[in-house]
Amino acid sequence: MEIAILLIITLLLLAYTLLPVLQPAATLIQDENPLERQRKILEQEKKNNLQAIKDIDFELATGKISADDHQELRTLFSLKAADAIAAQEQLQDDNND
Amino acid sequence: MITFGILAQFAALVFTLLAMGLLLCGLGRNNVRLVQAGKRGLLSATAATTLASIALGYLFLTDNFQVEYVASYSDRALPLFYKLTAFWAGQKGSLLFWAWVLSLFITLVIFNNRKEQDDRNTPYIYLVLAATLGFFLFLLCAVSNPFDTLGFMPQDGNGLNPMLQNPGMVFHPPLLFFGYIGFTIPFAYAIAAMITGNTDADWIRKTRVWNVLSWIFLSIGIILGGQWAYVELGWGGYWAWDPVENASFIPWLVSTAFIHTAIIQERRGIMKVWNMVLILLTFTLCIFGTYLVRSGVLQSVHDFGATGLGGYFLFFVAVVLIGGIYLLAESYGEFKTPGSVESYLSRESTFLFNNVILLALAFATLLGTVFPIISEAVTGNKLTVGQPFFNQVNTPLFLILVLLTGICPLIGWRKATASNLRRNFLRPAATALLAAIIMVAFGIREPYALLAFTLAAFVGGTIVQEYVTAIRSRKKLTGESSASAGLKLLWRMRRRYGGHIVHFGLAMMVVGIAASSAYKLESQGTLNRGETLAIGEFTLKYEDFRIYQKYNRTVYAAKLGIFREGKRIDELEAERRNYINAKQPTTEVAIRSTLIEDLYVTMPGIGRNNEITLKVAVNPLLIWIWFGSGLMVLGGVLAIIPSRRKKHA
Repeated sequence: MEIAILLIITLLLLAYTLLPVLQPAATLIQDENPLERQRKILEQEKKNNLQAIKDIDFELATGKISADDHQELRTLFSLKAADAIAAQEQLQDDNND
Repeated sequence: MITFGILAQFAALVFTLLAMGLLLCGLGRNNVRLVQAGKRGLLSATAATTLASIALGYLFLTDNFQVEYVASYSDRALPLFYKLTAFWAGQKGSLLFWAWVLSLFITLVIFNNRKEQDDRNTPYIYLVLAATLGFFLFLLCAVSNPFDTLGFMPQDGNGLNPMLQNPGMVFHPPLLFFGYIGFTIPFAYAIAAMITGNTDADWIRKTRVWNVLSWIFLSIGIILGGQWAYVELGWGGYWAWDPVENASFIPWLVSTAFIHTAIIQERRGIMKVWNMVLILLTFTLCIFGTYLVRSGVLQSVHDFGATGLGGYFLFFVAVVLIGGIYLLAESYGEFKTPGSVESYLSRESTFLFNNVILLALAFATLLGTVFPIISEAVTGNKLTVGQPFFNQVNTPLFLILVLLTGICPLIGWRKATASNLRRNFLRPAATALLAAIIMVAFGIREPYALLAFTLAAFVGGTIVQEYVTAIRSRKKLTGESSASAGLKLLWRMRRRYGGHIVHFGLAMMVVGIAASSAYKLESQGTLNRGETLAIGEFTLKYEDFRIYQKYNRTVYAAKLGIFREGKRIDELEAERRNYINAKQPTTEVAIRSTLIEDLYVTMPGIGRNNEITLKVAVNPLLIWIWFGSGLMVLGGVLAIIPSRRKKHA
C-alpha cells in the first residue's frame, strides 16, 4: 500500500516535472549585447558615484572627514557621475541613430 | 514505512539527476522550457526528500527498532520531543537532514525568483545546487542509509546519549546545518557568475540576505553549542577548541570576513576576486566541517566514529576547490576593475586588515584542528595540539580584531585625514583609558584581561559616539526629538546600525570571555549533610538529599543552600542522573546566574551514606557572553530586514 502511494506520488511528480517540456520551445534570455552591457556598466558607475556622494555627506555630518576633503571628494564623485550620465546619453543617441 | 523511506530517498536522487540533465540540455539547446523542467525536477526532489524525512520521523515515533539508526539513537522511554530530535543525533540522520534542508532552501530560491525571467545564469545556479543535493542523496542511497535494518526487531533501542538530551543540543545541530547549508546558495550564485562572466556585485546583492542569514544561523548554532557544553558537560567552560567546535568556527570566521568585503564590492565595485575566493572558501569549509564531524577522523566529544564517508567528502571538497580555482583563473579577465582603495586611512583599508586577521584566525584554528591528521600522515603518530596552542595563537589576534572593530566605524569611506581621526578617536580613547584606570584601581592586573576590557570599552565608546553624533546631525537637520531621531536612524539605516549592534554584542562577549577566563574561582570538597563549602564570597551548605524517578531516568538530587556573608540568598539542586540504557550516570549542573557572576555547581560523586562530592566554580560576568551573542544575532537580523521589495535570490 505504502509503495503504491509512493509510486503514484512519484508519477505525479514526474508529470509535473516534465510538463514544461511539452510546451512550445522558447529560448533562454541571452547575454546582453555589448551595447546593453555597456549601458549596465555605466548605470552601475552612476549609482556607485551617487552613493559615494551620499556617503561622504553622511561622513561630513558625523565629523569623519574635513570640509575640504568633503568638497574635493564631492566634486570628484559628481564629475564621475556626470561623466557616466553623459556617456549613457551618448550611448542612447548612438543607439537611436 | 522502511521501504517507503528507501524508495523516497532513491526517488529524490533520481529527480535530482533528472533536474541536472534537464538543466544541462536546457543550456545546450538554449531552451528555457528544459530549464523550467529542471527547476521543477528540483521541486520534485524536495517533495521526495520530505517524504523520506517524514518516513524516518515516523519510524522514530513508532519505536521501529528494526531500523538500525532508530535502535541506535532512541528507546521506548525517550520523551517524545527527543524522539523527534534523535533524527539528527547520528551521522545518517544528519545527512538526510542536510539533504532535506538544502532541498527546502532550493525551493525557497525558486519561489523567490518565480517572477524573474530565466537567463544564462539560471541553469548554472541550479546545476550547482542540484550537484550539491545530489552528492548528499548519493551518500544516503549508496553509503550511509538511515533506513538500513538490523534484520530482527530488538525489544528496545540503545537510547539517546544522555548528554544530547538537552534543549541546547536539540537546536544546536540543526541551526549549524542551516548555516552550513545556507552558504550553498551564495556559492552557487558565485559559480554561475564566474561561468557567465557576470562578475559585478549583482550576485552579492541577490544573495546578501542568504549570506547574513547563514551567518546568523551559524552564530546561533555555535553559541548554543557553547551553552550546551557549559550546562551539560559539567567541566565549567563553554569552549574547548574541540575539533567539532572548530569545524563550525572556521567557516564562521571566513564568512564574517566575506560579509565585510561584500559591503565594499557592493559600494565600490572593487575586491571582486577576493569575494569570490572568500565564498569559495566558506562553502568548502562548510563541507569540510561536515566531513570533520561525520568522518570520525578526529577525536572529539562529538565523536561519531569512523564511518567510511571521509573519502567521499574529501573528493567533493577537492572538486569544489579545484573547480572553483579553475573557474577563477579562467574568468580572471572579467574581474578587472577601474577602482581601488584610495587611501590607507579609509574604512576600506580597515576592512582589509580585518579580513587579514579573520583569515589568520581561521588558518591558525584550521591548522591546530587538522594537525593530528597531518602529523599522522608525516610521522605515523597522531599528535594533538591542545587548548594552550589555540589560546596563545588566537588571543592576540582576537584582541587586534576587537581593536579594529572599534577603529573601523571612526574612519570614513574612501579617505580620512589625521585631524579628523584625532577628533573622532578622542572620546572612545578617553573612555577606554578611563575604563583601564578604573579596572587597575579595582585590582585588575592580568594583562590580557585588562587589555580586553579596555578594548571592549573602546568599541563601546566608538559605537555610542557614532550613534549620538548621528542623532545630533539628524536633529539639526530635521528638528526632531532625540528619541525620534534615534529610532528613525536605527530603522532607516538598519544595515549600518545593525552592524554596530553586532559589534556592541561582540564587545560584551569579549568582556564576558576575559572575565570568566582570567578571574574564575574553583573549589572542590566532599560534604556530609549539614556541612559547608566556601568559594569566594559564597558558602554552600549541603541541606538535603532525595532520589526520584522522572521520564526515562532516576535522579539523585542534593539541595544546597547558598549563603553570602552569612545570609541565605538562594538554593540550588545539583543532580546525578541514571538514564535507562545509559552505561554510566551523568551529572546535571546547577547554575545560579546573575549579571555579576555565575555560581556553577556539579556533583561528580555520591557516597554510600549520601555524602556528596561537589565541584564549584564562580565564573565572573559569564552571562555577558550569552547576552552579547544575543545582541549579535539581533543586530544581524536588523541588518537584513528589507527596506523595500527588492529582487533577491
